[in-house]
Amino acid sequence: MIPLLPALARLAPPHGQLPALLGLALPMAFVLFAEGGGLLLRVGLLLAVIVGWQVLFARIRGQHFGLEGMTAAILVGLLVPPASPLYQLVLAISFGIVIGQLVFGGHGRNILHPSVVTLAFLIFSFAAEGYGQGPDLPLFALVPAFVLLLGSGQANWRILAGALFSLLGLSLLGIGDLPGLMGSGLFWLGLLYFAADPVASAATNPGRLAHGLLFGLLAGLFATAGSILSAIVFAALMAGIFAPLLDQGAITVNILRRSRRHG
Amino acid sequence: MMTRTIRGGIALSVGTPCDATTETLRLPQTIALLGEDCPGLRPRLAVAEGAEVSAGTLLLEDRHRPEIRLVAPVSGRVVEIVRGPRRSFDRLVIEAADGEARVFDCSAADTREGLVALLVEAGLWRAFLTRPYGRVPGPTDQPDALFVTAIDTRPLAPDPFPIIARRAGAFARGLAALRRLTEGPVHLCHAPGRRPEAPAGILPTAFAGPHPAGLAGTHIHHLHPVGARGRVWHIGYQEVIGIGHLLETGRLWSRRIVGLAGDGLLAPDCLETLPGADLNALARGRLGPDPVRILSGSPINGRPARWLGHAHTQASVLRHRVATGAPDTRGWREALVHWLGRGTGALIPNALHERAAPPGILPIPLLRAISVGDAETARRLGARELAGEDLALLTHIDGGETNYPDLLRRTLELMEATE
Repeated sequence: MIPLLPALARLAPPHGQLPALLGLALPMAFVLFAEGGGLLLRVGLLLAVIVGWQVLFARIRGQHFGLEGMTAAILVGLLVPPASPLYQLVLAISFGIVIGQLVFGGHGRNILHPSVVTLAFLIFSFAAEGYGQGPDLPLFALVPAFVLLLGSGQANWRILAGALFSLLGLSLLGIGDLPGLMGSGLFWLGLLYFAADPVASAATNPGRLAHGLLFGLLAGLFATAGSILSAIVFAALMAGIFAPLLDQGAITVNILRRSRRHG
Repeated sequence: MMTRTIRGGIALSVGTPCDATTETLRLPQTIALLGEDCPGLRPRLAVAEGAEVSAGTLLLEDRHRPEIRLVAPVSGRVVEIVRGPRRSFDRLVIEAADGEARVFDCSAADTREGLVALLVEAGLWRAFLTRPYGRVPGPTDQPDALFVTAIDTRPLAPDPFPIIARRAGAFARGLAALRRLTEGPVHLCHAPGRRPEAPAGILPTAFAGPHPAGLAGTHIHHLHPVGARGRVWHIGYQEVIGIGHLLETGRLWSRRIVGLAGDGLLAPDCLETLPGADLNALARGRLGPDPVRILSGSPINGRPARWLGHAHTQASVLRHRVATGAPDTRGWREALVHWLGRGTGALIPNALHERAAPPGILPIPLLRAISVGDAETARRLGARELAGEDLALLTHIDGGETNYPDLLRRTLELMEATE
């Protein structure tokens, strides 16, 4: 269990994106170094599209938005291949941000992470472009994100523990490639940003553990049949869909326990 | 002695509380009784502006619930009676002066009926609050248990132990009287190693840990949870001292011990002052150079106020940080930062919520239920066990933008209406 870092928690209120953005700085630098300035162009384009949609929805609904669009743009920009056709990115991020987030009422009311929806859209729709590959991120590049997200309480350690427990169980059964997954920065990026996203994951402690277990199980199984990135994306998608159900289970147990305790 | 250690909790570092081992006497010229402290009051005034009152004189009572009586805590002259919207009662200001205090007849206080009648007559009855719903109980109600809160874990709160120790006689006498009000147990909740002297028949329990270890809701959850039918009362330690003082002397205890602390002060101080004291007068001469705001209560759930609230034992003087100026005074950079960082206002779950939540409560589902006014779900998630103060820490960690205590109050009113 990683203790909460009070100083970090003060720095970043629950809706703040500072830990998430700071945590992405090192992976960004790494990809920039590996492939050059194309990353900035992609992220800039994605961000422009996202902000455009956010402004439109904010105008129509009289609502506000925060910096979550920047996190989403960086995540998608990082994970797509350098040669991606830009029109595909525009289409996919529009789908992701509108259907994945804005139609539900914006950040905090969505049920899936918009980047996950975007990547799933890309992997499904443009199978020939190799969207499932993802960059090679070293493990150390995710250390800041690990510390920042867990320390600020935005990523819950129960989800991480559940996922690792599932993967360990799978590897004991002889399924999957545990060292391969655990040694990959890409897997940790998905675990920290997609599976443990505070909004798209379960919102009760028992639910979070179950969410992590489910994500780990699905990611481990999917990884045996495809790339790490597509395994993470579809595991996060499925686990996110089941998160409200897992929460409902935790709520039912809480209610039963209360009625037994109080008569 | 039993000690309960609270799991979770958050120790906020917002400055040093005052040292309660010494008290400074500071009597302001004016005091006020506030309508805010009596939710749902239907006032019937017993005095007019300009009237001379002595400590113990009835000022106003509730039209429908005569047990709710506001009584002058000090002698003096009524200088101002302010009405709020829809003929509600806003405040009554008294200019304190020397004068003989009213003497109450305490001879019948040995029986439950006599004690209740005395407490109602002296205006001390409204010190009791029920759980569920946080109301003043009816005079014929019988609680299943009674909780005395002799611990305070709110940030900057004064330590109750030395305050009680200096008035051990009155406190013990008050505790003994509480035994007459219930056939159930009387729990005395205190910090570990800080147990006040208590007469036989009182059950002391120590609560260890950071806030919310000192809230009555936490104690009730651990010792006597209110289920579908349960009903308990709780009362603060200074109110118990007040009851003991009344029984000892026949006069009201016209004093209130208030911890004055916060980063806007030159130095924190523990003040012996009057109930409803003018906070501006208390803070005069003690402020630093910066603009401040004065809260009656703690930094997490105090309210900006001129006068000390009923049952409040602390006042917080906080430096006024102008995070972003008013919209029309913002520069473009400030405006941009504000525009980018304000978020949707939706609840974003965080591990801190579980830490700050009252015990046994799933915070995110409960906050979502009260945010949309879903009383049925809130009840099933344990809202009956809660009062506004239990959710103050959650509001604080969410940046103070959503007032969860207020949302809970509204949900509880809905629940109470349908029960």
